[in-house]
Amino acid sequence: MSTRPGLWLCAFGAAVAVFLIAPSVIVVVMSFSSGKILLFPPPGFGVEWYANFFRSEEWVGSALNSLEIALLSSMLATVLGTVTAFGLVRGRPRTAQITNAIMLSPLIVPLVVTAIGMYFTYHMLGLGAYAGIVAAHTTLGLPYVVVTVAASLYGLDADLELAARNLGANPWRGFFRITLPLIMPGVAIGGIFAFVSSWDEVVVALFLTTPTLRTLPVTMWEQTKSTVDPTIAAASSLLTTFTLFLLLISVTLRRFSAGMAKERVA
Amino acid sequence: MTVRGLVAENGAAAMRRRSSNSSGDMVGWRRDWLVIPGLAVILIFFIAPLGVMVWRSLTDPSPYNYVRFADEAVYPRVLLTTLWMTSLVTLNCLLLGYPYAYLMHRVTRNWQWLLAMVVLLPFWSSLLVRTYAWTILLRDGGLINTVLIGIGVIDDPIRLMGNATGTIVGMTHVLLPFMVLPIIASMRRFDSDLSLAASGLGARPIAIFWRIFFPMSLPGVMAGCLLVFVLAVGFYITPAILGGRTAFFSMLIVVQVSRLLEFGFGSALGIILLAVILVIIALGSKLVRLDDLVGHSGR
Amino acid sequence: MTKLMCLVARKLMRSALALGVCLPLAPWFSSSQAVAEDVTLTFASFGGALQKAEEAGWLQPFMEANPGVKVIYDSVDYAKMKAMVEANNVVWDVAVVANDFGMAADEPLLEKIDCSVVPCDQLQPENYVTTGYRVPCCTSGLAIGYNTTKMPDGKAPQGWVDFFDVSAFPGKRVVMMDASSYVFEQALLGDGIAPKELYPLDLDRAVKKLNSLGDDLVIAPSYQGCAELIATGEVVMGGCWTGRLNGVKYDGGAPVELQWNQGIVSPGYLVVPKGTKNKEWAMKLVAFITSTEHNAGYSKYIDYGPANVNALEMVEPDKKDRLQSSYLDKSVFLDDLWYDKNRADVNKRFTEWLAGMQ
Repeated sequence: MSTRPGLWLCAFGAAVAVFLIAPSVIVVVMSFSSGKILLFPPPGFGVEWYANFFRSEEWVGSALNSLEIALLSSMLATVLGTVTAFGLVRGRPRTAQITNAIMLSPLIVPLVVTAIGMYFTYHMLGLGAYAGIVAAHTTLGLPYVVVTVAASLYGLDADLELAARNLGANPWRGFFRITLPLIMPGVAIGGIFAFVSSWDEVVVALFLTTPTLRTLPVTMWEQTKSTVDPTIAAASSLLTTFTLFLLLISVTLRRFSAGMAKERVA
Repeated sequence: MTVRGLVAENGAAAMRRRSSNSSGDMVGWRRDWLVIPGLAVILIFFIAPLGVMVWRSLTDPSPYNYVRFADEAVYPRVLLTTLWMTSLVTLNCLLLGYPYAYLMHRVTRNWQWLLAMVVLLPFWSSLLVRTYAWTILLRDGGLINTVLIGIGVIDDPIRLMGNATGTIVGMTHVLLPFMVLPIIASMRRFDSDLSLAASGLGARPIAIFWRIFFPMSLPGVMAGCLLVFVLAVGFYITPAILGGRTAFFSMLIVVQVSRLLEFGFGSALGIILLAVILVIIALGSKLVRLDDLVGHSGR
Repeated sequence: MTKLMCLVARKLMRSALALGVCLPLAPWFSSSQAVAEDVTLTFASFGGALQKAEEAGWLQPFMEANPGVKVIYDSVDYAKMKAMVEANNVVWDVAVVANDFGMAADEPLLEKIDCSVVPCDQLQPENYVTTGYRVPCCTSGLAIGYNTTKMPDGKAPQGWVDFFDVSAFPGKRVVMMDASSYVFEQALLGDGIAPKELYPLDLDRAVKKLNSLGDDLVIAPSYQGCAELIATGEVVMGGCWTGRLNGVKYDGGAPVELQWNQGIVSPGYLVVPKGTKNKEWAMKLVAFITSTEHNAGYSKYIDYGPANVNALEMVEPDKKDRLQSSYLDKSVFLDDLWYDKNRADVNKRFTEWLAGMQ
């Protein structure tokens, strides 16, 4: 951060930013449409589709289900994934190669095939719909956490932990006081990936959900199979706003604790 | 400590990383068992179901499923198209994502948060809805074509969807965050004192970037490319909506499983796709190591 | 981001405790059986706007007529149905499927329809082929939709031959993106084959006809997108599902007209998955839905017609000209017996065509 970024870099970054948010902007505009179908530009503006969303038990209920399942499974994935990545990178088990392949497999295997396998297997294990979908989404989120945390650990100087150890810290203390704060960006990003992978997952959810336990993507999927009305756009815009809100809160919190965090990292 | 020494020290640490890692219990305690819980979860809840389907691909009706893949020319052909498109998407993500991540690294904290928000925002709207929004932008009478015609750049609309362009644009958009975030994570660890020191010695900014900064961000780049590539190969919804006549391999699997109810053949197609990806990852991991070496001993 | 995750994690602690409780309990919840004489049926269909119509037109009246019976709604998926039956964990009692399901190949997954309860003979057996394991519930299908502002001097396409006639009707056409949307039938009808002589489909000839349109042929991004491309005038006409065309015409107010001549009928069918725990009630529900009195019940809420011949008269007059069931004399019917044996081939040929192989 010694020099300010060049003009070209800024222009390029702005272009990428536009590319990233353009579809979201379109969705927000359409959500205020007064028309009955998703046409752009909308024939007029109104908030009836938002009212429609909140009136509908189906939409609100499935949104809450999704939130709960995504939070639970991403948290499980974050804890398990961080521990696994630590074991992989620092422990270097003799079976690292194969372990790595197995941990990454949920990313690679086409979900439509595994979804059916999961249905059969979970049924044999006696898992209900709720436990089944949390288990499935935990496995889908795990590889994201492992990849990003492992990348952070590789870049981290192992000598730091060694130094802490030499200074008398026990391994757990060393991990929680030195390593974890340093790899936290990787852990957080992995956790976000895991959250989103559950939040937006439709293929496995279609198989594992039941009439009484639906997730938001399943509801959306059904909607797009029949008539697409702007309620979907409204639901989507609400989520975007919700995210923005969460991020703003975290920025504020960060401001408060910035000094402390800086001290710890340095 | 001299600056040269600092640079050398850092490079050496990077080199040592691999060698020191190989001694499992260098700080006096074994940590390889830490992989067991995660491994167990994946084995029980993911690999076992996969095993059920592997079994199925061999017995429903017979291992002939695998011969059938090779026998019917359309399957290998679509597989090759899929891999080619996936490579293009990965390249696109890298070309757009790296400068963006670099910019994020260079700006002040407030700007950093804004840029991070922009990356994360699309995540939270459903893939279905986002893809739908792209059709509004890309189609013949869509926003982009209307604007281009309006300002006189083109006379007739250009085909932006219903072909490979649509698939690549849509998939790049969906996958770009998966490239940017790991790169950011790796850049964050970059010690800015290092570049300060190097520029103090008279190194040009470009040289600092390519000799020091870029090599150090490579693990993030590799993680990003790996993520984007493996995610892209299995894509279904985006190519189905934006790709038109550009068939993606996963679309064939969905047709077999969901339409024709051929669980055996559908599984076999899935397993073949999995095998191809594993080979590519194996090849890729060799490349990563090569790049790593080039990066760290470039001087 | 770090702080965000911490915040989320802290909020999560409560949910984590909940999970600890839920994990062991969930199996019992999921397999909870209906108590005593109360019956809960699960009706699986395609959801969305269709769900509202099906609930208001069929399921609510059924529950009113049968106190103590509750019908809940789920989303249908063929593969899931197959998995349910194989795992002997059948949750659905009645399912709505399209005409690509429920023939001989799928019989192992289905209960035979009990025609002593269900009015099978009123359900147009001459038009809608079954092997006794499904009955039609509703008439839908696809037809040519065209943008009236893009038609040369007041002309309108009269059938699929006009659809493929680029000199008389210049401009782009849209067709749908899956083999289950009968693109090959459209091409063969466009090549002048009589509706009665369509089967067996000459796939090579169909592909040739489709390719003759060259760049004027657009593949729809989705069922809805098919109708929207016509509505916005980006294509002059298209072969789309009539429900979607009616949607942009009546709800969207777009200058779109439908040519019902040579519309391709693709009805919905009711099936009862094998191993349902409420077979008797399932048959009663099927009978209720297909009955003269109630079959047209849902046409009030959605542009799909009844399958029961006697129920056609129950449709409100102003709704009638929006329904494919009012134009059956001009329509083309699919040969599901032929499809039952050749579906894999048709799909493969369609994929090859999509992949650019000739």
